[in-house]
Amino acid sequence: MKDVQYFAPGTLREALKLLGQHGARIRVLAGGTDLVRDMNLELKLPDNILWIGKLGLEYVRLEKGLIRIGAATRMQTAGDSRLLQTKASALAQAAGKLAAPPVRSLATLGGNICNASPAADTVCAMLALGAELVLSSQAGKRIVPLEKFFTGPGKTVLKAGEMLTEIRLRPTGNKEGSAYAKVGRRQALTLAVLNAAARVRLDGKGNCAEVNIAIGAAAPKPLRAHKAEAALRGKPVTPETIAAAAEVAASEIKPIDDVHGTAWYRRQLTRVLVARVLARAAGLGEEE
Amino acid sequence: MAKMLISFKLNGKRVSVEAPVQTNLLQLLREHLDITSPKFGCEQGNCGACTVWLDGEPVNSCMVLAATVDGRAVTTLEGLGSPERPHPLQIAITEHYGSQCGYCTPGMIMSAAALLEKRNGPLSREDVVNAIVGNVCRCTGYSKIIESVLAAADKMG
Repeated sequence: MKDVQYFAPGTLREALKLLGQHGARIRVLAGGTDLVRDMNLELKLPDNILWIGKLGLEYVRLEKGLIRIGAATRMQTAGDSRLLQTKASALAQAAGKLAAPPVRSLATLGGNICNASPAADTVCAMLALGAELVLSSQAGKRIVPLEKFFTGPGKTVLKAGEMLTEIRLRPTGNKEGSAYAKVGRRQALTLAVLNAAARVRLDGKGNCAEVNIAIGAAAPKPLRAHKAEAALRGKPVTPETIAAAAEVAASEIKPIDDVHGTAWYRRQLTRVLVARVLARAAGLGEEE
Repeated sequence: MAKMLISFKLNGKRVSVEAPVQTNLLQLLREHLDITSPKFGCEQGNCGACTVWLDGEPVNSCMVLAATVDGRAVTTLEGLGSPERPHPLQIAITEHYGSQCGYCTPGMIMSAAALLEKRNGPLSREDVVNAIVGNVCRCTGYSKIIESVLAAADKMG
């Protein structure tokens, strides 16, 4: 068996230096629920491991009008955050539904993003919230919208020597809300067969001023349903307009048949879950 | 194979142990430290049999890289109660038949005891279910376990 090297730097500067030195031959370890699992089950051993648990990257705060979340923020912390519960509720709901408590006290938001699963719970919520990612390297920082981050299942635009350090979101304001919903094969410890999230802002007349809709496990990467958004924008938000937008969403996805569910079932779920999150985000539905 | 020295607090006592870098916390506890209450189940966070506390929070020890516990605190069932001085939940589980084959029991107790420790106010059945959804039991049908946790909560006041 090969020699695995382990690094646990105490500063971001040192971490970025190590990333720069080892390039593609070093893996970032955050919570371990994907990386250590793969090491256990598939004996996929990285050459080098960089643990980011000591970099001070676990925080959720409001700064200069933006919610800033450290990449190593764990699901438990995100789910319990009063700021996220009130100003980015889709994300608090998704983090609180992921897997089960012993996983939620390990798994991180940054890990959920970088693992790049099309079914990732919190990614779907952050996509609907319009999140942007801060990617850091020795050369500096760049900001990438979450929607542009994924290139396929397990694949992202992250370059060798670069890591995700922060997630930024606009908090929801007046007459604005967000919501997340998931259907799995059971309540806990399960991947989403399909998940959906929405962010909706109403204008003074109760019409839809802004809307983002995200759907997961419905295509090779988590997707924004832009056509469904366009179908609702500017219209009064009623059960009828919501149902019409959800129908558009069902035609926009590219689902497959797999062990978790069939493409047909995923379209059915899209109609139901998109309608449900739109209604909840617009304040028409019951909170789950 | 590259080894490293890992020092941490295990059930209140300082320990230092050398292990290969890729060792997970479950292997470290069972194979290097003779702590056998955490059980090997799925090695992928789907069963909860290996649940221990890391800095006071329940975690699946199989998915924790052992190196990352250096300088931190781990509590296992051995640190929670003993035959001489059992935790109230251990007593409740025996009194309410909350354990059958026993394989899930240590992990189940660690998840439920975390809830008992951090609660403020009375517990509902739903609170208990939410705390143990990550622990799979193939014998009891869960009802007796939930009864046990609620009974322990009553006893502990």
